[in-house]
Amino acid sequence: MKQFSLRNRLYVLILIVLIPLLFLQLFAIISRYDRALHSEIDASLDFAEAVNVTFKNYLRDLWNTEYSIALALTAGEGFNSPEQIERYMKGIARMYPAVEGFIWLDRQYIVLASTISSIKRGDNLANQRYLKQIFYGEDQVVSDLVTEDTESFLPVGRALRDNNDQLVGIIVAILEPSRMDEIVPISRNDERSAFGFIDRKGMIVYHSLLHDLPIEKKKMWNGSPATPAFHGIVNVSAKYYSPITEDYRMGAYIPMSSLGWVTFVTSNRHDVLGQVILATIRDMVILVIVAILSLCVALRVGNKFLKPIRVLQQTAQAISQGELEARTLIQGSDELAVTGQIFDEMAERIQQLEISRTRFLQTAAHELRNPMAGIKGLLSLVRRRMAQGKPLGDITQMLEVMDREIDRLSNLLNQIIEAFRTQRDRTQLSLILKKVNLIDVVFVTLKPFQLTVHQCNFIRDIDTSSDIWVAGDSVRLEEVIRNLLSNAVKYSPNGGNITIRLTTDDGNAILVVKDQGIGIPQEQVGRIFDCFYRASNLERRDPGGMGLGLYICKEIIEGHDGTIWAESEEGVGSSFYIKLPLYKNREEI
Amino acid sequence: MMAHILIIDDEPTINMILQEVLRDEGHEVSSAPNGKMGLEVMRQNPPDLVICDLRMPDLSGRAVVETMRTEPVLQPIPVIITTGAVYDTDEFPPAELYQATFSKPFDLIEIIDKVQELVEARTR
Repeated sequence: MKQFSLRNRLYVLILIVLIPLLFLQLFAIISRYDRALHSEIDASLDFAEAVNVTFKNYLRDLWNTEYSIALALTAGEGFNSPEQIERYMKGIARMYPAVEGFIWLDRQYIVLASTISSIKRGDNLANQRYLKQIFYGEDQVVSDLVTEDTESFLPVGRALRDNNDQLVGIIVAILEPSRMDEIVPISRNDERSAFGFIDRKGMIVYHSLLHDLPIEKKKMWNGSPATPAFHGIVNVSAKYYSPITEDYRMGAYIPMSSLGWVTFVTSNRHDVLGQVILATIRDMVILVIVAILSLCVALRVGNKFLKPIRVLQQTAQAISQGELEARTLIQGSDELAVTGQIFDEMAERIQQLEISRTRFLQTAAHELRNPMAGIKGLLSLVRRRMAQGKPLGDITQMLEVMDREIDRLSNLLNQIIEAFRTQRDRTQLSLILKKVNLIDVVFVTLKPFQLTVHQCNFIRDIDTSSDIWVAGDSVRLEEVIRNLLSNAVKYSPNGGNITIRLTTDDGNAILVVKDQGIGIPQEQVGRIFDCFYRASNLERRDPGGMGLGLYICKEIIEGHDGTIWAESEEGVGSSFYIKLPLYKNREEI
Repeated sequence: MMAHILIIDDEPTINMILQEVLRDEGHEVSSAPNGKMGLEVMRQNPPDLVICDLRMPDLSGRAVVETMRTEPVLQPIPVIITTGAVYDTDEFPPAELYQATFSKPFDLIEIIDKVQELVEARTR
């Protein structure tokens, strides 16, 4: 289960990086949509204001004209009959394209003259609501939409009063809503954009798109976005369904305060936002695809990243369970791969160490058992002969043999103890460093060999004219040199040359012991200094070795801050090198 | 029952003790200090029984036993293996190639009994 938790953490990391980016993109898309929406609504509001002003200006102009007409009529100049008045009024009406005609009323609201066919001279219009406003003192009035059968029209009245504020007469212009395009000669870009006016009763007076709206469809529906505007509140709606145009629309409704009307400017939502919505959907789809793709790529990369860790884990587990031959075999050069390779090297060392340890145990047991078997065997032999009453044999020789075997046992034990001691802690080697002449050390060590070993030729290549001083423990250094010499003797053929060369080079003393012996297989040269390691070709020739001699040499030389190494060719010979810093280079002593 | 026994062991002490104790029993004993010489001796004068150490220079006990089993004259000769090895290592020849094994330090009486048993089985 544990290996999945790392993966989960990785996924969380990926998401932590990815999610804010997704949100940023999402926010950008939404704001673009919002901006489009708001700019349309702002434009609608501006347009509505402009329409408002234009319409009011038109009314002011119309009222002024009406006042002029009324003044002219009451001045009595040349107007002897209603026909004359009507002709005059028709002439003026032609100048106002939206005006169908004028009506001239006396102070009793009785029609004196009319250019409108549906209103006759003598008609009493006192019950008209807008004229009642004049009765209550207003001079300039606009009616709500007046409907008659299928016809609808819009009366605009102007009262004329004398100096005593007494009503003299009223002139009324009848506007035909379908011709009101002339009043607000502005058009909007979008095909289905519209503007218009709604009167106090909620009837559409003018609709720029639908000139011929049937009367029953002119009534604003309940809960329409116009409602707040009747209470003086500017209202915008981003989305509503209009039963009049039968589509989803958006737009602005603003009050036309002096009249109590509402001006509207609306657009088909799809016309305005269609492109934006399409672009938004497209952006969203791209965003989702990109998100999925990057998630997939991230997971792939993540898995690739996790794989070596998992391999490392499995390998470590296998090794801990005793499968010492397990390896990660990770290739590559990144940190994880290098960790894997170092791990493999470590595993190799552990395995080799284990092999060495096993071999050492076997060798140690074998070497210890041989002398023990000898002693025990001799004892049983003597006891058996005594029991059988036979001659005991040469007892002196038997005791000598037993004595020798016990010495062997004790020597082996000393070697083992020494090996473990140096392995446990190098500092416990307890070297006593003094200024020593390496030439003397070599000569002292070499002497017994030259006296006792006759099958080899010792060749000294040492310049004795000047001393070679090193800081060293002469006893231990002798031990090292003795070890190298006895190895050289042990593995050399009869008559072989053993060369001992001592030189100095770049602040170091260099001692070389070169033989013409059996050599060491190339691939094993680097390992012969390991504890318990024995070159494979020694096993037959000298099965008793424990693989400790060179290990102890290395420990001693490294304790002197020196280095020891070997060069060898199998069947040709080996050279062992020791490099020790000269005394003058070791100021601290 | 008298028999001709060959002892192959590079340890002079053990070699010597085995020779002495088997001669005491009345056997005719020859010896070799390593595997190579052991094979030479048995080819010249095939013994009734071989006692062989495992870990020896030049030619190991395992190689000696394996070689014996390929040569018709040496093939039927029973082999007792003596060894100082602790574990079952690959130093041992396959189990069917030898008749008995003794770990050092061994009990001489047991070896004598085993020798007796194998010699009797062979002459029967």
